Amino acid sequence: MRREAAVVARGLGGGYTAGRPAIEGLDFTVPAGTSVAVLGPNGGGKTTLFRALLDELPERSGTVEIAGPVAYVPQTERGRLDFPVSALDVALMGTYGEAPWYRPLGRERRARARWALERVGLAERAGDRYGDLSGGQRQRALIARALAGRARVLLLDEPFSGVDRPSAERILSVLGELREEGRVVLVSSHDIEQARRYDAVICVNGRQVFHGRPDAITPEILRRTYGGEIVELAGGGRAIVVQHHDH
Amino acid sequence: MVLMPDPLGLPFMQRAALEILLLAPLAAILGAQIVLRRLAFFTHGVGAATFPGLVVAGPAGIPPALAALAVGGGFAAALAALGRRGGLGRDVATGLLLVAALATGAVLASDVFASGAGVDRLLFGSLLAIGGGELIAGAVALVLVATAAARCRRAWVASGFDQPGDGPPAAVTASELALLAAIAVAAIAAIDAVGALLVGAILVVPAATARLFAGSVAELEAGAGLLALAEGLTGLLIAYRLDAPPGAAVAVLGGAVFALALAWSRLAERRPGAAS
Repeated sequence: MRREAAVVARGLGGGYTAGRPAIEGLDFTVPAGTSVAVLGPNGGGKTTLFRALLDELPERSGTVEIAGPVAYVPQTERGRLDFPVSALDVALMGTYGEAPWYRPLGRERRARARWALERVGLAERAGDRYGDLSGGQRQRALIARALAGRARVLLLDEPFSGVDRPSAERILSVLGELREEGRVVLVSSHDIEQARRYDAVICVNGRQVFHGRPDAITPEILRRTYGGEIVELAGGGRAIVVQHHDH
Repeated sequence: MVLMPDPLGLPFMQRAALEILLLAPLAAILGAQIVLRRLAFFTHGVGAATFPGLVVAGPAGIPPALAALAVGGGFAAALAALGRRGGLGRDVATGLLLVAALATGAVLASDVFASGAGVDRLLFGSLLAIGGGELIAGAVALVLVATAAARCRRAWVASGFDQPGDGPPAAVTASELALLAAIAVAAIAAIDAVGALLVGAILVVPAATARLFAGSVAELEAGAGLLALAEGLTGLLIAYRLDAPPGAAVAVLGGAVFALALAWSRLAERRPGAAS
């Protein structure tokens, strides 16, 4: 069965300064109910791609069509741990933008926030302070915020960063369920092995290096994506990314 | 035996108390955002930067609130330009502009220009000399800030919760500009009471104290407002009894309450059975 396109990018490019695009020439179509890993080196344009899809870039070229509300899910460390908000407060934030400012939050939006927390397995922790949750639970609270905002397309920025293995598996399970519901999940990641569990992969390094099924990724594609940051492990044919930070 | 009159029966004390009643809601609404978003230095900067405007306002026949607003607005605009083009962090840019503003004000207030401005009054306030004009200015500031907060509070909380990432900064949103403008208006409104150098005594210290115990943003707002009211009125009475400057009395009292609250919260954390 052919599924309806949920995200269509044509000649997508853009950046933060006129005449200096951080990404250019991205062409891809993502059907509804699809999970996509976005791979690329630091500074390769993964976050810029997300900002382009959110229409938050100062400079953008090309076209983007997105079916339904889109939400950005930041890394857990981007949520202030010292902020006096509960997991329920965080989920409620997802509903802030959908009604006029003079209208109170109301029972329906609170119920939706609670449903979103239940959806990600955090119903029992609704009243807990966000900063007291574990890394994986915080990530799920941020996903709940997107769901409370009725997002059909979720853009997750390295959701497994700083998250232990069991929590990562729990998050992957939630993402799988969201995909089954017909939502689109785009996940930026450095984990090449984990990317093989998604329906599709987009490799970005300023330009689009690859878009297709994970099993079609070759060492050459990874080399073109990561350049000097890729290390191939002898024996198993596995590859890992060694990140270089400029400090 | 010398009998002192009932302080709150005196008209100038009543006006001072009314001014504190107008400033306390500003401390509630904005103090919480200032503390949560780490804007304390900006608040101090925008208050202190009005000093040169206040110095020239009197001799030039300009309403002080208008002069303060112009200079405070210029400070905020210069801060934005320096932060964006100069590649400086916000704290460094604030520090540079603060020094420039205070130095300019000191030169203008010196005998060189014989401005006749009461430097002490401008820097540390004159709560006991509050008049009808200052009360009206305070009421107008409260209406402006309350309107901005009603419109933007949810956006302020949500964007304050999300820290900026490592990438290039996103464009400043209208709600964030409204927050900075509201802080500037509140800081200027507080100058009459506590002076250009002590606006933090109203807008920062009570909220910082409430922050130690608040479990939610609403609790923080309520705590900041109540503390600003209590510290303001108590400081006013202490100043009257001791014949001390009221702005400084409010600031010292606020600092002492914060120190006690901090010690109490640390002790509570160490108590057996306290949540780790």
